[in-house]
Amino acid sequence: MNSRNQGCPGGCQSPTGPMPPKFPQPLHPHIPRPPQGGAQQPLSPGMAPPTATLNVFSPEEGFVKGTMFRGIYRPYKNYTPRLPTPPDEKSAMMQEVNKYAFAAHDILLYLDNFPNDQEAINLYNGFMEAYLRARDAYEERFGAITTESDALKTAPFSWTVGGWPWVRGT
Amino acid sequence: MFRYEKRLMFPVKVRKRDLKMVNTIITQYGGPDGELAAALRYLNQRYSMPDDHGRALLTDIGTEELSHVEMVATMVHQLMAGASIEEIKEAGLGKHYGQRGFDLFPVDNFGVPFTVAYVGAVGDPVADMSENMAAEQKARAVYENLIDLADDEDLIQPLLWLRERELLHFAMFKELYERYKNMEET
Repeated sequence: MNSRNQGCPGGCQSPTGPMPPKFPQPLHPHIPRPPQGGAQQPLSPGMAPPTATLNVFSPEEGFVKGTMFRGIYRPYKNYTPRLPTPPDEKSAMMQEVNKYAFAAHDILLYLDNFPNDQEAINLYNGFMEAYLRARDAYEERFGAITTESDALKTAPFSWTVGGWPWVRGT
Repeated sequence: MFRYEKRLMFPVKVRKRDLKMVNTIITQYGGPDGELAAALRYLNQRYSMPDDHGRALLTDIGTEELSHVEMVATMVHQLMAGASIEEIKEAGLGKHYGQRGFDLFPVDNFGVPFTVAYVGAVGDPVADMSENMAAEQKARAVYENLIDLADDEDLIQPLLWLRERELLHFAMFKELYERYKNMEET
């Protein structure tokens, strides 16, 4: 089973024979393993999670809670994670950017462990698309978040002016 | 290469100045289990990883930790911003102000300056992943201590969020740990 020693950027070969008994238990408890012996799915040890549905929060809920994965979320004492209602449109639109960027990022981390999971890849692409849309919309109205923004064509150069995120009141 | 985005990963808007909290939150900036140590630990370890899973995960979590450094720094900055000399003296921040003014400086709660000795990395994937799992748990515990000490919702919310990230990173590193452990045994 030396194939497991290789990263498989171009996709892993499906191993023949049954899963080795040492196959690590899933650490994402929301991902059920397929029934033993019934591995219809090409499974590369340590790489591909089974086909079962990823149990993720919505981007809204995941962002507030700090994780997209229901099986991993663990609240602290009786504190309730919450976001203040955005006081203005600028904050509301920034929240959209943050939310989708966060959702995409968390799925990205998951894909680092399981790059063959097409369902996660689809989720990633969906969130990434929503993030780029939200970012464009924000930048058009309130100035650049990135140096590649279309909002950098006119003076004042909005990368420089305003919006530095640690400044109170921006 | 790294590129900057002009936004915080999770919003930090501390409206109430609280100089007493500065000396406790600061440890997650420059302390042994802080975000700076985490970022450097992961971005250093990635060079010796045996496969693309490790290279990818350490790059992505290491990068995220830099965003956490920025969030913690923002909390400290906003807790101090605009304080009067009287307030600074009263909160026992005279030494800090005397040496650094309103600049941030990466230290722990006892004033010990950040040191790269906090960067655990021994070039062994199983040992390094164990280190990372422990580091995430220690950071989780420290965030819980900080949440216990905080009484302002503006601080508590980003601290809760950062705490939850430690749990998520722990799970991701554990997955990788199992993988490398398995490799070692085969």
